[in-house]
Formats: sequence, structure tokens, C-alpha cells
Amino acid sequence: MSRQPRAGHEVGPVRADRRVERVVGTVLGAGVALSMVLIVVGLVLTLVAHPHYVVGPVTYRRLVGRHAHFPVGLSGLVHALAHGRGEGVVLLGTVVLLATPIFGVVAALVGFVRERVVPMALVALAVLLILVGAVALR
Amino acid sequence: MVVITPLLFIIVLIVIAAGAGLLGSLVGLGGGIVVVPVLTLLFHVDIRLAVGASLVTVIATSATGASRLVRAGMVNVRLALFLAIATTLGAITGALISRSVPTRFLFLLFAAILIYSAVMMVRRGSGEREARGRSDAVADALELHGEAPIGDGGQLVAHRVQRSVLGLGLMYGAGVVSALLGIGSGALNVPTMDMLMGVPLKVASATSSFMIGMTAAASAAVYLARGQIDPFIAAPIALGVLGGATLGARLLTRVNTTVVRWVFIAVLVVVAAEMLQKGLS
Repeated sequence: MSRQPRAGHEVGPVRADRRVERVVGTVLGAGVALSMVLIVVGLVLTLVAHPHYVVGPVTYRRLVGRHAHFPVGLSGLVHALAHGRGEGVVLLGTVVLLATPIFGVVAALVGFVRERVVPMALVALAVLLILVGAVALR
Repeated sequence: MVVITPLLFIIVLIVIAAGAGLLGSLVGLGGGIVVVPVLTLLFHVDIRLAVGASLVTVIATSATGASRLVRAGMVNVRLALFLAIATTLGAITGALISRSVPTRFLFLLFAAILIYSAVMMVRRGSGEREARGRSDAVADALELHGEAPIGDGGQLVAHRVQRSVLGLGLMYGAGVVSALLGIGSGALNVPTMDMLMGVPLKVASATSSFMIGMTAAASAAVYLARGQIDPFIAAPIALGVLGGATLGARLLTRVNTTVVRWVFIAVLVVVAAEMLQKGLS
């Protein structure tokens, strides 16, 4: 069942939204691509530094669980990177991935501001503030 | 007895995640529905770490699929951001209360929600969609109505959003569930937008995939600060999901709605059975 098409005067807003969409889509794709590169590089560095991870007899349990030999959290990230460990690069890639949707919201916010779509800029700002608040939470 | 070395573990995770990613982006669900059971049942990973890894997977699926779908004009970005206000708040709530809620109750509740969604999807397949949308002052003010290239030959078809405030309330609950179980809330997002808010299924599915990332980022931020995200588990899964999700997103604009719906219904039933079993065992 077809619906009432948009009225002619709404062509402007639609075109503005298309520009916002292009930027948001590009930012999301770039965030994922960057994180994947970091993860692959980090995994390779980790395996090269620990040959027994590849041939054994170490099992995966060593890297999984509460007392894993792997950095966790933001403090672990800083520590591992400071010591040049591949594990730190893997964690950095993971953090970039987690932040990618936030980058997407920033892109939408900037886009709607530039297109002067005030109500939607405020909606995007609200989502951004909530996400930043979540990062600050414990 | 075969020793599962870290390398073998990584390879197995990547392969499983690729399958999960394909399915996830096709139906607008995160791959988390497969990831949590695989990690906990097969590899005996701590459930809290599995949930954390699953959220990373969900974000990878969402961002990859959404990147393509947003550029293709399939996503109603305005509606996604509007509803994300509720899902992100819900996700933070869920992450904060995750330690004090009995998981058994949650599994049972979620199984019930999934079965309900599946039944509604089956019934909608035979019935007529509401022809005339209700008026919605909020949707009008924010111009949440959209259009997407879902007609024959990629023609733009407009849709009017309705019941946006009720949708916002339901999305808060979807955010809570997403954070608690480490899954994308697509199983709740899509039926809400499709059947309640007047958004066509393909657009609802694409819009959901964009929302899921924002939702999961909110709870993942809380879990990361608590050290519940183990990159050694999360990263290989994210890699695998990337491959599967890219393929799925390519297929979404081509497959017909009936196929998407029945795949979706099948997934809902399987996951419901899985959740029920966990809740009862």
C-alpha cells in the first residue's frame, strides 16, 4: 500500500538529510576500518611475541577469565601501550570500535548543525551527552 | 585430548563470528545472540566476559551494516537518533543493575518477549498493514517521517512515523534488555517500529542496525570501565563479524521482504527456545 508522498517543499530537508547521512556512514565505516587494522596488527604482534601461543602447550584459558594475561579496562590499556605490548594494541582497537557509534553521533550532530536542523541537532546532542556520561560512569 | 591453543581459539572464534555477523545484519539483530551461548557453553567463558565480548560484536555488526545502509538511504537517521535517547538511557540502567537482577528471571522474560514478537510477525504476514497513519505531533515537529529506496527498482517510498512517544517508552526497555544480556535489541526494535510505529520492515531493520551500535556503546562503556571486556575474546569475534556483516548488508537491499521476515521469525523462535532452556535449567 503506497503512502502519501512528501510534499514538494520538503525536498530541501530531504536533501540536507542525505548530506548528513553520507558523513555519518563514512565516519562509521572509517571507525570500524581503523579498529580492525589495530586489532589485526595487535594480534599479530601478540602471537609473534609469544610463539607458544601458536604451537602450544599453552591453552586459550590463559588469556580468558578473571586472571587472564591480558590488559583490561582503560588503566590496563595505558599500561600495556606504555610497555609496547601487542595486547595493548588489540585493546586500543577494541576501544576504537566501542567509540565508533559515538563518533557517528558526533557526525550527525555536526551535520544537523551545519544544515541548521535545530530540533534534530538537539536530539543528537542529547544522545551524545548520554553516551559521554556512560563513559564517565563507574 | 586436543589442546586449544590461543591461535586455534582465535581462528574458531573468527569463523563462528562470521556466521553470526551474516545473520545479524540480515535481520537487524546483533550477532550477540550466537556469541554468548557459544562462549559460555562451548568455551566455558565467564558469562560476564561473554556479555562484554558480545557487546563489542554487536557494535561491530551495527557500525559495519549501518555505514553501508545509512549511505544507501535505508536508515531513518532522525528516527534512530530520537529513539536512541531512550535505548542509551535504558542501556546505562541495565549495565548498572546487571549485578543485582536474577538472570533466570531475565532469560524467561526475554524468551516470552521473543515468542510474542515471532507470533506478531507471523500474524502480520497474513494481515493488512494499517492503511492510514495516526497523527503524531512529536513525529511531525521533528519531521521523523522518512522515505527509503524500497520500491520496485529502488524507487523511494515514503513512510509516516506514528506513536513515537509510546515507541520511546518501549525502546527504553529494549536498551535495558540489551545491556543485561549483551545482545543487540533488534528483536525488540524491529517489531516496535514495523508494527507499532508504521515503519516498513526493511527500513525498520536498517534503522535498528544503526540504533543498536549507540545502545551497545552506552553499556559497553560501563562494562569496559569495570574490566568486563576481554579484548582477546572480543577482538577476534569483531573481526569475524566484519566479514559476515558486510556480506549481509549487501544482501539486505536485494532480498525480498517475505524472505527477510521468515528468516527473522525463525531466528526469534530459535533464540526463544535457547533463552527458555537457560531460564529453566
